[in-house]
Amino acid sequence: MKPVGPPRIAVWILEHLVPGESNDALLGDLWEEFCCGRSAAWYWRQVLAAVAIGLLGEMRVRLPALGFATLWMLPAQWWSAFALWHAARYAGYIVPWPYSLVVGMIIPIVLSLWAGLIVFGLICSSIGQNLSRRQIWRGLWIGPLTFFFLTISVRMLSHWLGLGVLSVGAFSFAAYFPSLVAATWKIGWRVETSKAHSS
Amino acid sequence: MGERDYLGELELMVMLAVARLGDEAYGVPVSRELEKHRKRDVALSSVYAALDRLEAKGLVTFRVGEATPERGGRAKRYFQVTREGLQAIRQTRHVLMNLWKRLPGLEGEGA
Repeated sequence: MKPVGPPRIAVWILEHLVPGESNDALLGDLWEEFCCGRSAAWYWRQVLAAVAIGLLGEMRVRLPALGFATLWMLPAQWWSAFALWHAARYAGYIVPWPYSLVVGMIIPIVLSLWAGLIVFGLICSSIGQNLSRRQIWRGLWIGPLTFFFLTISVRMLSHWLGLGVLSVGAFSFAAYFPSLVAATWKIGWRVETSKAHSS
Repeated sequence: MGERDYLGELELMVMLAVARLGDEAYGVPVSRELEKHRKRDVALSSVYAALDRLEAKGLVTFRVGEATPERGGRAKRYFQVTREGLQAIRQTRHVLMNLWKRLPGLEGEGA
């Protein structure tokens, strides 16, 4: 016997994990097709296609932010590596623990994230896409917040998996890069949206 | 219209389906129309992605229809080709026809 509605998990995925403004209409269309005799397998194929297309679309829109974060991370990785080394080497000597972590690691990394955002903002302005104060503020807090969240998550995950302390390079890729992407991504998204509306 | 504004394959097919369906052009009939002529399954999300791009370019417009129980209470999105959209279809057709005519061995075939 065929179930009354489409697979609930697939519906939830489409409602919550697929970016885009057409999801409501798409859900209705898929429901209509399912009621007309399409199988659950067909429904799942459609939802997985929607996820893939949605993510690819997002990547395309936010390509400038991704490209910038990649370029910025190359020098910033050395900067954050130095900060980590500095924090580990002098922890407790010059400034008592845990303040040494703040002075030696957190402040330099946050500053390098903010510097990246400022440069990205300047590039956006130079090509005529002026950012609002709200966008800049949003980028300034999203970057460090993502960094703290990822740092704790990566640290706990590596401990849980028994990997010990991750190498600086792995740490940078796991925490610093996504943080910068998250911050510039948000700004980039806003730029694209306002551009689309103005055209 | 700039060089980059020519319609892609899927965009052109979606535009033609929307123009052909008239007032009944929403996701399901558009995708069925494409399936009928392409003879293969179409992802509804790819149709919506194409329609979103066309809408951003001003080549189609949409209005939100009524929400019905057979759609799980979701409203339909009815699309319509704009004047600029029709112009884009004509220009793309013109370019394709010119290219088509110059293909050796295919000149006699109806496009």
